Order: sequence, then structure tokens, then C-alpha cells
Amino acid sequence: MTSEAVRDLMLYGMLMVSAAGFYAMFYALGRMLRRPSIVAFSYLFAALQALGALGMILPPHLDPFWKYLIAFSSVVYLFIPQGMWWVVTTFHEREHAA
Amino acid sequence: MTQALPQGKLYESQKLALWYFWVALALFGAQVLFGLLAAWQYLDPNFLYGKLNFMTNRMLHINAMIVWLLLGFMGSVYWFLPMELGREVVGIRLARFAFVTLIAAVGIVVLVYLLVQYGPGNAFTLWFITEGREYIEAPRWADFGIVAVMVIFLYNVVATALKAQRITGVAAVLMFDLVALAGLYMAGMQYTPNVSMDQYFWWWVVHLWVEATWEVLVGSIMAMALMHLLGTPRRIVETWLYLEVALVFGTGILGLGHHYFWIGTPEYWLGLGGFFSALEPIPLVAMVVHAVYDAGVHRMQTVNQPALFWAIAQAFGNFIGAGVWGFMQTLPQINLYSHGTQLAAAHGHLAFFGAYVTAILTVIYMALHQVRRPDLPRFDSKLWKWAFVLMVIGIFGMSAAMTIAGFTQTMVERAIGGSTWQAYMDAQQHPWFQNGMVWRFVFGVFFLVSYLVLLWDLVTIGRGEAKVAKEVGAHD
Repeated sequence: MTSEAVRDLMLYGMLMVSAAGFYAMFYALGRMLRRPSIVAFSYLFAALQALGALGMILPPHLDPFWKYLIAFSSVVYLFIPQGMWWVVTTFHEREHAA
Repeated sequence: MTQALPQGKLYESQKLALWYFWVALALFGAQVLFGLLAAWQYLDPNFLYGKLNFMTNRMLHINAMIVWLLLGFMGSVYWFLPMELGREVVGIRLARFAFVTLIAAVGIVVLVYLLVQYGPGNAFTLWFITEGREYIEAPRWADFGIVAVMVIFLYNVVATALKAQRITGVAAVLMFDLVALAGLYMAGMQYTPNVSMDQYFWWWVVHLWVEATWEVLVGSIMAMALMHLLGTPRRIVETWLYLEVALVFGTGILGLGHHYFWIGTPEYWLGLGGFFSALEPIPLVAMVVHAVYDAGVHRMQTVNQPALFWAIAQAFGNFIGAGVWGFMQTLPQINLYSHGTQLAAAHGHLAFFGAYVTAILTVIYMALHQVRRPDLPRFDSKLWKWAFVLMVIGIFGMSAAMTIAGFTQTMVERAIGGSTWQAYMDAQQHPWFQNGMVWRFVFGVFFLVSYLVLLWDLVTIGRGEAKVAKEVGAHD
């Protein structure tokens, strides 16, 4: 592993997870405020998240196992905001209806 | 049977909790102060050399953190437990005794650290000066004291639940967690001349005790806090708590394996640990959605805004500190180069602040509201926002500075230099590293100022309104 590879992996890793967090935050905020523009803005971070993952997967630095793991995580991150939003709102609605 | 409490009165355990909080806050100040001294000694190694050495300051900085957070957690549990179970804590005298004993023990240990510092490395040193293990340097006698206090704490929770004939989901999680809390700490009391085995058990305390049992403990505390702060239904917070416990145990326990590579354990730990560590941010991202939902539903409004802001900071802080900064260096291929650098320190600072400090401050603001005038329509002050903003800037500034320094170490010392002694020196003298250390100190001073603002706010918040209300005879 070269020093450049270590640097790139670290930076792409940081980009991937922090962008996933911003994606989740803006998506939830957009849904909360009923502002489709904010939801659309959140997809920018979803793309950045995927870009971060690609930055780790495409170069030959990692073994296939780790590439699969990152690809899996990246796909999960793409659906977490929608899934969690559904879980949270459904759960709260049921609780308040009870 | 449950005991109802007259309006505006406090349970004895809540009065005790306030003592826990104030001592915890004093130790928080000690943590910041000794951290600042250690940060300055990075810039000027001769400063206080021979009088208060770097190793002593660093040791006090870390141990003060462990103890104050522990006191904060115990105070938080003693605050919420009677409300959760509807009766006074059973062993309140025992709880007071444990509190006084713990404070006396902490005082003695700090004096020993300051005046004696180290010994010849024999059994006497181990028992009466320091065990010499990072984070758990406390001498052996103090270790037994900590376990005894934890056992008393566990007894109080269990006995109170049994007496109240009520075991809620939160209380049940709390009880199981406290068994682990008392038990896992004993792993760090093992002694073996085999360094690998010694480190193996040491990591149990650092990772499983501090990061797993504390995570569950803080989850229980935040569950109780959210019910009282936002009126979130019990079923919702309990479901989230169960989910959090499952996630912490599902990814956190085996995630510990990424540290094992460094201590001579079989190689499979590298992959196993890295795999589960890499999955750790996933639930934290999910929790961001929940935090936004909770804050949005209440439109950031509640009678206790400082507590609400610290509670939201807890959700985001946990994600950024543990999730982002953790993932950045968790893959084995990176961890191989970054482990033990200032990057790890940056991760530790952000994660501890984000997950634990924010939670305790949430509860302290809630407790002060209850104590100072629960009937006030808004528990507010001008200062709390300053304290909040300055503290968040301070911790992020420090962590950013350490991240740059740690990045330099990772590159210059490890990846380029190959971890030789010369490479270590090269990294230490690299402008990025040195500037990082300067900025770490600057933001450390910033953090100290924010701590003082916070302390002043905690001392004064709600007092003015209470006085006015009393003068006009509006209450009581």
C-alpha cells in the first residue's frame, strides 16, 4: 500500500460516511418541512456518498472482500433515509392512534 | 406499591443526583485543565518538567474524563430512577455512602498521581500508586472500590425495581447493563506477564466497558430523558432502546477486534474486527433521521431548550464522532497505518463528547429545571446558547487540529517512513503536525472558556426568574 493509497482511502471513507449523514439529515428535513427542494438537495449527498464508495472500490488498493463490504454499505446508505423515515412516521402514527 | 411524591418536591435520590452532577462538573473542569497543560507541553516540553510531567497531566486528563462521565451517568440514573419506578431508591443510605467513598477515593488517587506519580514497578506500585494501563491507571485498591460502587449501584437499581414491583423496559436494560458494567471492569484487573494477553483484557475495559456498556447506559438515560423532555411515548423510546442495544452488541462487540491486530492475536481478528467496525456507522446514520424527526415534530420548542439542544447534539455528535471519524480509520488497510496516531485522539475526543458529554449535560439541564422552578413556562438563559456554540466549536476545532496532525503522522511516520524511529521524529517535526498541535492548544483554550461559560450558566440559569416569581408571590 502506498502513502497515496492510504490518503485516498481515508479521504474517500470520510466523504462516504459524512455524505451519508448529510443525505439522511437533509432528506428527513425535507420530508419534515414538506419541501421537495430540500429532499432533492439531499440526493446530491447521496451521489457524493456513492462517489466516496466508488473512490474506495475502483482503485486496486483493497481486496475483493472489502470492496464488496463497501459496496454493500453504500447501497444500504442509499435506502436508509427512506426506510427510516417510513419506520419512524409509521411507528409514531400507530402509537398516537393507539 | 409506589410512593407518590408531592408536587415540586424531590426524591432523596434526586437530591443525591445533584451532588453527583456538581462533582462531575468539577472533574470535567479538571479534565479540561490537565488536557490543556498536556497540550501546552506538546509545544513546550520543558514546561513544568519535573514538577507536573506530561505523563501525569495526560493521565489526569483521561482518568478525570472517565470518572466524571461515570459520576454523570450515576447521577442521571439516580435522577430518573425514582420517577421511572414510582418510588424512592431503596438503598439511599448505601448510595450516599458509595458517593462519599468514591469521591474520597478519587481525591486520594489524584493526590497520589500529583505527588508520587510512579513507583518501582512492583506489587506495591500496582496496588497503591498506579497500574500503569492507559485509561485505567487507578491503583488496584481503587479498582476494587470502583467495582464495589458499581455493585452498590446495581443493587440499588434492582432492589428498587423489586420493591416497586415494577420493571420497565428501560429499567430492565439498565439492570443487565450494570451487571456488565461491574463485571467487565474486572477484566482490567487481571495481571499477566504476557503482554498480548494483558492488552487483550485491557481492550475489554477500554472498548467493551467504555464503548459498549456505556453506550447502552447512555441509551437508557436518553430514553428516560426523552420521555420527560419531549413526552415521547414509552413504547417508542423502549423500542428504540432495544434496537440500539441490538446494534451496539451486533456491531460493537466484534468491532473491538480491529484493535486486536496490534497486540499479537490471530490474524482473523483483523478481518473480523474490520468487518463489524465498518458496519458501525449504518445504525448511526439511521439515528440521524430519527433525531431530525424528533426535533422537527417539536419544532425545536420545549420548555427546556438547553436540554433539547444538547439532546439533539447527542444524536449528531454520536454519528460524527463515532461514525465518520471512526469509519475514516477503521478499515484494516488504513488502521494498519493510522492506529495510535493523533487521528485516534481526534476520534476519541469527538466520540466521547458527542455520545456522552452531551447526554449528561441534557440531564443536568433537566434536573436544574426541576430544582429551580418546574412551574416556569420556559427554562432559559442568554448564556446557554453561547456555552453550547462555543463548546461545539471548541471540540470540533480541537478534533480538526488533531486530525491534521494525525494525518501527518499516518503519512510521514507510517506510510512513507515505515514506522522507524527517524520517521517518528520526522512526523513530529513536520509543519503540519506542529501547526496541528498549536491549533489544538488554541481550541483547547477556547474549550476552557466555553466550559467556564457553561458552568456559570448552570449555576445561574433559572435563578433570576425564580426570585422574581417568589417576590411577586406568583408561586408557593
